[in-house]
Amino acid sequence: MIQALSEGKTRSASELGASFSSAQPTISRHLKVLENARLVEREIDGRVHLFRLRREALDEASNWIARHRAFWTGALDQLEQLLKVTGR
Amino acid sequence: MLNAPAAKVFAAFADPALVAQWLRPSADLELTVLQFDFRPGGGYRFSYERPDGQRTRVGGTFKLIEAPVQIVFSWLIEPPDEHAGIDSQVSVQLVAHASLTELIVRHDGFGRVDADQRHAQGWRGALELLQQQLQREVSDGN
Repeated sequence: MIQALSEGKTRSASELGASFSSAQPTISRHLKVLENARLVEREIDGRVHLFRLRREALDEASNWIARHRAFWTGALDQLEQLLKVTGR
Repeated sequence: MLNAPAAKVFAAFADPALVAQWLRPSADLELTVLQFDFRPGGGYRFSYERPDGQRTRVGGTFKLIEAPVQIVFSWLIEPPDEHAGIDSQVSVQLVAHASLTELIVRHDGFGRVDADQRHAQGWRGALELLQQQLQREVSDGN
């Protein structure tokens, strides 16, 4: 679903539904979860519900993960070195 | 897998003089241990200094200490860092394999504690999603 919205365009629930083999109520439920998690935003245009990915929510989390992954990779390398130097 | 017995690996987490020598992303950063009260409920505070003099401070509380198999602590970066206020938790598990030790580190983020609830939810949702993607990548062997 995120993938389908990641091009940045707003898409309607039925457009999104057409990309998946799930039934429309399942799609709606899934969109509701993403909306509650503030990962997507809904815009209502008459009877059409349009959805847009909130890229900023993903970017911040993505930066945090990359930073901490690099932190631990580096730290564990240094721990390995320290254990080598201090002997067993 | 570390080429040292579990007691020795555990000591590297428990002794502030040892912690200062390795708990940093690279040797270019200088780690000063400002506080280190290694007991359940005890606090710690680290200062990381880059070669250009820029400092980042991180602090938290030891939640669980079980020598020599497990350590759990909270991890919170202090302002003015871009990730300040993001509440997270580190779990370290040590599994002894004869004279070697398998180290499992898990760092989970829970979102911002200092921002409004909607922002925190968005952040948490994004994080869970990314973690799922990363786990998938790992299990796919990529």
